[in-house]
Amino acid sequence: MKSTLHPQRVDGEPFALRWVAEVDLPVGRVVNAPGTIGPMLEYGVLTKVLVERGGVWTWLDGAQKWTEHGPRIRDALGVSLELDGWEVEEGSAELLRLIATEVLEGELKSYVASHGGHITVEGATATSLRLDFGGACEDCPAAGATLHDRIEAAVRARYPLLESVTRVNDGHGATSGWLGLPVPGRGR
Amino acid sequence: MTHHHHGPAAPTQPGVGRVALVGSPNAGKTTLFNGLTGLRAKTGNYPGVTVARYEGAVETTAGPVVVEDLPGAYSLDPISPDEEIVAAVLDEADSLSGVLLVIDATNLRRGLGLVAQVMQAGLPTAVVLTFVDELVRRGGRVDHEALSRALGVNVIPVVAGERRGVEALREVLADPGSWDEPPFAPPTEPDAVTGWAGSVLKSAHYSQPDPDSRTGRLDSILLHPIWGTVIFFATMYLFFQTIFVVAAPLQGWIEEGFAWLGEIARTNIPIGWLSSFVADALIGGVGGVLVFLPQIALLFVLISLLEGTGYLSRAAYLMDRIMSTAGLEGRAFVALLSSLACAIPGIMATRTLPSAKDRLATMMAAPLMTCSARLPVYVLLVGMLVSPELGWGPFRAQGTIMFGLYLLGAASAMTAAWFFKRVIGRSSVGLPFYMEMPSYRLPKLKTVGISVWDSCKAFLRKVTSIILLTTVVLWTLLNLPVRSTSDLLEAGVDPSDQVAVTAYTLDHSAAAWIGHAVEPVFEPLGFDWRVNVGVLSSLAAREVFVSTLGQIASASDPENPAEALATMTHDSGPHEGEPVFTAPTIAALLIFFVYAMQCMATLGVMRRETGTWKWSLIAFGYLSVAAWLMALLAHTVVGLFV
Repeated sequence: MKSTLHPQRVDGEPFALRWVAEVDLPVGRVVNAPGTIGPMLEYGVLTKVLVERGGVWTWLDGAQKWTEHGPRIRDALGVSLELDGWEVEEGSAELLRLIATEVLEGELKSYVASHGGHITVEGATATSLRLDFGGACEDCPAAGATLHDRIEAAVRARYPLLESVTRVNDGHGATSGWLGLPVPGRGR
Repeated sequence: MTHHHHGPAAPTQPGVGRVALVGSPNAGKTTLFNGLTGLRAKTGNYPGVTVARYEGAVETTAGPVVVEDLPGAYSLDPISPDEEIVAAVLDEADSLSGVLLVIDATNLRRGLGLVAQVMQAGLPTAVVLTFVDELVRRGGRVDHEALSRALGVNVIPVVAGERRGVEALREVLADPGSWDEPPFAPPTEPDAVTGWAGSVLKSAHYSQPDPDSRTGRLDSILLHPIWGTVIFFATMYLFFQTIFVVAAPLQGWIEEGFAWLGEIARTNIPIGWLSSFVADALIGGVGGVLVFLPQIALLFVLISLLEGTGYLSRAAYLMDRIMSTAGLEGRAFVALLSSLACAIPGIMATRTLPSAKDRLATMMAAPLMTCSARLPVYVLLVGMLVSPELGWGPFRAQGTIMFGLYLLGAASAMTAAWFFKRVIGRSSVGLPFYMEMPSYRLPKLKTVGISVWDSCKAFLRKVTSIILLTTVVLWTLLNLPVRSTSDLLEAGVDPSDQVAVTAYTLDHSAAAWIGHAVEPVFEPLGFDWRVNVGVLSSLAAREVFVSTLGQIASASDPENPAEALATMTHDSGPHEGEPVFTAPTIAALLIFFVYAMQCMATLGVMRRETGTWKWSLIAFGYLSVAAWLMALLAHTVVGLFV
């Protein structure tokens, strides 16, 4: 068995792990999975499984420990990902929010910080995302647009259903000027 | 220096955090350790093995933390004794508060294999990423923050020569308990590890560095089958030239210093026997060995320069071809190479050989490699054989003979390995030989300095223990039985003539009796009883030969012991009156020292490594016979030309 995957912790969710792996399934919530992941989900060892492009999110039952189940779930996932029979409920606002948060706190964190801001996810639907730019790049519309594009591209690479990313103001003052306007999505 | 007898990881200071540095050889671990601890490192040994153990205190914001520099290990599979130690220390996880994994960024894929193994120990772990600058220079890339997320542990990049990374590490070291913890350990099964590492690398946007163009260009010449070999031998030749040319003046000064001290002792100590003990045994004998400290230091400067630049690995690669003609693999050469310093680490390095037969053959050959203990003997004898003026331009005859002796040692080791391979039988399977070719790097001055300092300390330790002890025993044997005035008068010696009394006591001492007793054995080689005593005493340690001759010489002519040695004549037997140190005899002595197994410690290690005295006895037997026969041959051949 040679499966190319590794787990990463999810900030603030001790029972969640994101498995970075070669996954080419519809993105959304897993209803039924092949291999051993299916029964694990059925019997509640795993309480929730979400699939993104290039990763799988799993939630372990609160009474269990990763040190105990982690290796088994890793092996099971490695096998299951090779099999057909995944049933996925396409589109998930929760998944989109998680991915966006992860992108902002992870791969783009230092990039965002270099633009002098802290961006948070304000809200998400199954196809759209609302971000709070928290004062980033207010003085620099051009850099702001670049930043916006990069976030959108990074999230869409992992969640192709994303249609639009809009910004809300950082809260001090009304939505003013072009900053408050929704940016047209470039969904497929 | 501390010796630990209670297990490999006994904490030195209770209550103080203890962090182990783990990493593959050449990952920059020692440089990092030196950067963290300064020169406050302590050296000791692991119980039962002679692999050096280094630890030092690091000042952090939360007080001192003890950092232990574990031996380099590619993996925790205990193939070599080094890896065995690392595995043992990590096994005793209780005594460690954390592990710092030092990983070479230019070789990250293989480094992750070690990461996966170390993380199994469940200790707080952090990764120090070294050579990131070299990775970038060679067109590679790694996102250390993404790597940290993928591994689930802190990743701290450090760049050689920059304080920043080391300061960041100091902060990290303060509290291993607060380090990021992965949800659970990476897989252990090889295929799964490969998959895990691949996935981690992809997440970290890792791209391999291009092959180092500088290294590539150098290697195209230095690893060339013909040019590479020519350059290798030229380098070695220069190596021995340097030892003679550079160290000689230093040695001269130390010699003068000891002669001066000896004079002071002789004139100022009123008690006769004490004056003789201090002047002859301590200053003439032990001091006579200490004189060679510059050569020892220089030998290790050159070895650590060759190692630090990465050239030594190339030498091993070139020699692999020659080794294979002896039926041995490159790993055996690495073991033989270690024997240039001392046969003991060489014999221990045979533990990397998977075949028991190859291992025995290499062990039998290791004592023939010219170890640093032979250096003082060679320098002394070569100095008596040819004058330092003899030579052409910058090339001295002395250095050339020295080079020849090292070459003869190496060639004899190969022959012995080939012979024993034949006798013991062929090994069934040859496992592939893997050796890393590190990029050429400028060696760190501090690293070279520390390695030389350690070797000098080891030499001084040896001088003040086994060599001092043997010298004292010999002094006693050379001065017993004590002659009374009536004895002297009876023998026709004037008791007031100090020189005559000394000569009489020496010539009729217990040591002389032993020296005369073995005369029939060594007579064909041209040795007289005094040389015999020297040869016999050198069974304890080779350098004792120098101290014994030093004692005898300084007893017979306190003013000028070197002159006394050179003009020493046979005092009995068929050659009475003829000089002892003729060219054929010196040649015979040199060749004798090339082959003779004069090191009890080596025999002891052989016994420990093979589990039986059988192989120690075989080594002692065959090397003694070879030494005698080859010395006779040298005596005869050189005799034809003189």
